[in-house]
Amino acid sequence: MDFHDRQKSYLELHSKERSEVWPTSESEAELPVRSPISMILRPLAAKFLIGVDAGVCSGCLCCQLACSLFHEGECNLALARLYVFHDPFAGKDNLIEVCKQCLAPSCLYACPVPGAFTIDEATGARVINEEKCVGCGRCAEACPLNDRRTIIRYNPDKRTYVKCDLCKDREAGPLCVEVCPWGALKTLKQKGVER
Amino acid sequence: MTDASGWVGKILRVDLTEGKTSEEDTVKYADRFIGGRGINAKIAWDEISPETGSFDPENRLILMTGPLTGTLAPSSGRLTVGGVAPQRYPKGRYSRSGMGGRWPSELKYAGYDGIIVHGKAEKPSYLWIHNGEVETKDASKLWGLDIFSTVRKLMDEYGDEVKVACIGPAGERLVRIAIIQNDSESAAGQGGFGAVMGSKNLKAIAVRGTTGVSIARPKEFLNLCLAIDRLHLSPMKLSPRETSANPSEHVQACSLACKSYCAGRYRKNVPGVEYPGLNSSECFCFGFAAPSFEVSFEARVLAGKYGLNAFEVGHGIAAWLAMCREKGLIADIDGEPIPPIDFRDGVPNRGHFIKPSSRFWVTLLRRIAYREGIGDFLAEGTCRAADRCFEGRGKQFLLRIYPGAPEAPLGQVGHWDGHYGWGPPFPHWLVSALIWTFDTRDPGSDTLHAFTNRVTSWASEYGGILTHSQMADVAKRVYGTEGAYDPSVSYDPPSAKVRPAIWHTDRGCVVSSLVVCEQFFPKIFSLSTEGYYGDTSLESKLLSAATGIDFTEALLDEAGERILNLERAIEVRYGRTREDDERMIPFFEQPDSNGVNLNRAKFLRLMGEYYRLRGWDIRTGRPTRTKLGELGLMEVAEELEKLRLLP
Repeated sequence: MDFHDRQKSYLELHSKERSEVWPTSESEAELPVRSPISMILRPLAAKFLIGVDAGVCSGCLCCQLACSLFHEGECNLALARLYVFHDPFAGKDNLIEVCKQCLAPSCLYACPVPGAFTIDEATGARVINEEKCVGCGRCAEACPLNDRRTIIRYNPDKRTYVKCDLCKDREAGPLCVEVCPWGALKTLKQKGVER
Repeated sequence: MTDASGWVGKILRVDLTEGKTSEEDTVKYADRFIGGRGINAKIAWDEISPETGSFDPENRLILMTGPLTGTLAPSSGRLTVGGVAPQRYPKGRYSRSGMGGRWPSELKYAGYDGIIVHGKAEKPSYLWIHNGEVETKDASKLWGLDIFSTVRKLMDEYGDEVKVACIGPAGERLVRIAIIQNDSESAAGQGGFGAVMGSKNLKAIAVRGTTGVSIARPKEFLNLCLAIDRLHLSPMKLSPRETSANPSEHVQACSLACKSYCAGRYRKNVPGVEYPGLNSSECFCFGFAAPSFEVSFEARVLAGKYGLNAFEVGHGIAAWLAMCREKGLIADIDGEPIPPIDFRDGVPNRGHFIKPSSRFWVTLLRRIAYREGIGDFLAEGTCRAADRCFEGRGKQFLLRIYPGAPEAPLGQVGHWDGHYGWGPPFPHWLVSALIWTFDTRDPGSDTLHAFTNRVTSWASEYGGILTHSQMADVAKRVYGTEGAYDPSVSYDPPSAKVRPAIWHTDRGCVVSSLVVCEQFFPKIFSLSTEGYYGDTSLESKLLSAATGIDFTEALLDEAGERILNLERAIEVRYGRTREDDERMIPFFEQPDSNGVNLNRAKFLRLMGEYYRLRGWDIRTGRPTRTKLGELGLMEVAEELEKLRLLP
């Protein structure tokens, strides 16, 4: 399924299920940022992003290992919420894939379960609530950057999808940025974006 | 222990003759021998008889990761290879080699702590392992391909995430210095295990795994890894941005989770020239001198493609050929002249001192890998080649290159031994000499650097930052002797150099059993602590947090000693005695770069002290029943008793 197909299906899904999925009572619509409706209309931008400088990445995968260790309690590259790929014969920089925390997050729009996909108030991260996620995978389908299925991944043990939450529960900020020995990952402020 | 984290729990056994595979629990080895080098030694003791030759089907090819492999523990993505090593001279004996790259961790993600291969496949085969499933496949289409093409072909077949460890033309032709390599440069170099793979008709092992390594106490483990980063444990600068104005000058990590900066001056994407996966240790120590960086780099890549041990070719074979040329024994390799030794540029026992043309390297590597012409002799390794070429007249030069030559029990190039420009000067190289004397292979890459690098990178007289008294305080704390790093202490007291030799040998066993990189562990010094003491208990802390079993540093050190004693028992079963150990002495009796040579009588006293502190018999050099009993190796003592090899 290419990007346009995915976008189409997202739109279909959206027009069909929006009214069922998202509460439309007026009182809720007036709530500030936490309201699903206001999120759809005017999603809170992420406070910062994880920026990538592939040119200095050494491919040590510390970021992936630390990510899965922090979030899933094991060292598992397949559960890391970002992805580094090295082709030894390409003679190219390593490929690094990490969630861009889109201003208009297709993943969030695609989620059919109320409260399963939220926006963290403090960081603005687009977050999957693993207690509510039913593992339908629509977010993973909708993400335009998820071709390798590396940005939104399925955790078969938890039966939920997982994605980068900018380490919202960690005081020191994103762990991957902290463990990167080369400065290939860093936190970036988004310019010209109102929160 | 059965549900311990860290280990994934299963070892794969492959019988190529029968075409059968089976699984064993890692637990039965792990409690006493940890992983990697330790488990390899145990399997070798149990399964490889002293009569087994390198190329016999009964020989085992053991690839074993450790409990930390594939985790966030710094530099942990490694494994240790074991088996009867064809490179050892005069006869193949059990030995070991280490391998980094992405393959070892992928093996764990696929569900196995290690692989034991025995037997011999009827026709060329390769193994395909994916998430706990194993298939033996026909490799007739891969046979004959170089290493890069083999990896590429299998990546095309199974997806670009598959990791492949394989041999090249050299391994197929049983070249005794053939390597097993994964990715474009991470290889098990020493020992010639590529030829063992070739003798089993096993071209490659392709692995893909998507499971993880569970960690018993994730928070503690993560904090530990972060704390190690913050400890500022190396005087080397960590970031490429600090060391280089050009951000394109950087490295590809040679091991998973490695944050070291071993040789960052080598480039991944040189402007205008793109090299396939240039790695950190690429040009660091391979010894291919050439007119330009590009040529020496190409030569190194070519050795990797053919599956040859570049280190041995550069520092062993080329150095020996140059010495033979000086005496008029040989002038060229198929018309490519062997260049003269340039004495101004250094001291000859390494490839650096000759300045050959690119065509010389290409010809030499090609001849050796394909066993063409004189390459057929050279493919047997320098020591064996010296026996057969030039009516044995080349043998006189071996001693300059190979400790123990001409009867060398090792057959591997001497380095970091204080001689010919390698490593720190006397008396520091007394520790190197002791480590060489008792090892079963070139100890360079898993034991020796841990000591010599501390001297050359920390001591003020070599450009470091620590004074003698500061180093003495740390030495007292780590080794229990103040004289370890003291340039004024040599043979007296004997324990001053013997204790660090023993400590580093045991710790080398631990490090290559966990498996982490010995360039990174143990951490003896630190810039950020009081008294500059690093933290030598980091390995045990990491292991405890990963497995949930509480290992103290003492417990882990005992495991290291146990592994070393088991390896010694294997050597004793082969017939090693104190006389074999003493064969290392003549190498060190040659003057070093400063004209200092070893004092034989005094060194024999050091050896005596070594045997005494080890609890080994001073006369025969064999481990005693008491010592083996203390270490929980009673079954080893019983077997040696039966063979009448207990002192």
